[in-house]
Amino acid sequence: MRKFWAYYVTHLIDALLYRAEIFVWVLTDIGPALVALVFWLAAFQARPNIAGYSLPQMVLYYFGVMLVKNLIGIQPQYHLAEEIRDGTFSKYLLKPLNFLIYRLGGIFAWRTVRLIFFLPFLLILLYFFIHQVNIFRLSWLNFIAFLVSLALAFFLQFLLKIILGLAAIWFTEVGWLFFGFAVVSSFLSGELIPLDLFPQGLIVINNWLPFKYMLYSPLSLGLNRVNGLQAISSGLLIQFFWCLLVYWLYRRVFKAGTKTYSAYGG
Amino acid sequence: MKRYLKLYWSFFKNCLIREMEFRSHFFLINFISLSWAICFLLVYFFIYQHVDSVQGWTLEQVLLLTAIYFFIDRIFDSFFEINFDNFINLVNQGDLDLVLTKPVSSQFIVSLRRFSFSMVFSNIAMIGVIVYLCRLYFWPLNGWVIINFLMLIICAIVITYSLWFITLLPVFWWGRARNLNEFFRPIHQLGRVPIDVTGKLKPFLTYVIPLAFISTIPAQALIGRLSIHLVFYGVFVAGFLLWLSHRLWRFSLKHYTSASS
Repeated sequence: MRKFWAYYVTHLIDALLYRAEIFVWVLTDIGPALVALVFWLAAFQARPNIAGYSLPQMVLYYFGVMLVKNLIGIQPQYHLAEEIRDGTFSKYLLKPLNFLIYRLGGIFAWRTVRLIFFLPFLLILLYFFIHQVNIFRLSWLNFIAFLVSLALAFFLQFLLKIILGLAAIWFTEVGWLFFGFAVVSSFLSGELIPLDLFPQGLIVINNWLPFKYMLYSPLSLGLNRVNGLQAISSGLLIQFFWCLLVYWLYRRVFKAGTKTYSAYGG
Repeated sequence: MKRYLKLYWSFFKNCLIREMEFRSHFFLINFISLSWAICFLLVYFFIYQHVDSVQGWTLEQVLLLTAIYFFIDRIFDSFFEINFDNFINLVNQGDLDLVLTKPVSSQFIVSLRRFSFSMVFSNIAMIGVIVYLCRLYFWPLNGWVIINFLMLIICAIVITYSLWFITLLPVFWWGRARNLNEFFRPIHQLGRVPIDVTGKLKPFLTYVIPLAFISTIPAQALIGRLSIHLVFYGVFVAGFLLWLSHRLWRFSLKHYTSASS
């Protein structure tokens, strides 16, 4: 834990240097959700209810997308692939540092600064949409489940993307892999539209894939769309199961990767 | 002019040779970028299972708009965006020196040196979708409409280029913003929806920051809902923004310090 804090603080200092960069990333988090929101505002003019969503619920859904993306929409794979390509990846193998803990320290630091930049935008947007947002009562159970689900979604995303990044050990060019993953996951995680709007067949298939557990699951708990102890706990269990599976996969990939890795350059 | 065309042709050949070294990568990336466009067509398809029209835009009209948006966006990506990715490094590492010493316009080299072949599939597919939708819903189209449409496409590309290029220029002052090439993207994404949904902002987005031209207005040309003065305004505003981008480029260059890290 002490090590984690040391990594956190060094990365925090680093992140605070790149304020303009973080500002741009915050804009790219907000942009797509805001565009979708503007479209939905117009769509709701004709009818009060679309696919079980009222306008306030839809507005909150996209606010949720922005918030969750800002908190856990991490992209560690690009940096990792770069480290593998130029050989700096060797430091994880030579120095007595835990690869995952080191990475987490960095991610938490950048996310802290990003959240600080995001909050003013959130407040401004809330001010503009104040008439479309309603306050609803969230039970303690749902709130705690939301936090747990958010943490699980974070780890699922983190491990999956680290695995993607490690793929750079085998492939010289990994851009297509990252791009492909981004396309599939933003479509199937509920980032573009709520998954309830998908046709039934696709919803069923999607339940067997990990993508919805990275965004839609925590969001549906936080927006009170999943209720009752049984529904909540079974949802969290599946999410937990995915985390375990991906962690197991990560261990295998990391082990195989460190054998193949040949450290060019550095 | 002839010199520039000749130069561009050799850039193009150079990039093609490079691309063909990685053929499997070429197919994969083309396929993925096509899937991204298809995702958006599907999203509208799903949404319109629950609504009939949004601000007067029906499903086939919105699909046409999306196809046009991706068509224009992909052309812009192929010619320009791939260069913008590199631009920030060029300035930050002092490599712009090499560009400035060449006996051709520096803006030309910075914006057009590389050509991306990752969007070939998407472009062909989007042309297919546009033609298909037109045959089915917006037929007949007379020659005049098609000329207007093609002119608006060119305007859209020039407008996108100029606005995006202008947003890159602060890099001469803020070297640390390594992702400045992403700054315009969230703004540009407004082109994915009909501009009519923005309500009170519509005149602003048509005349001041003309994002309406990057998808809504070309789509309206084919749908047959276009007032002709917008074509003239489009040509004017595209020319003006291109000129402005060049002026701002000249101005920003004065602040180039050629410092490398």
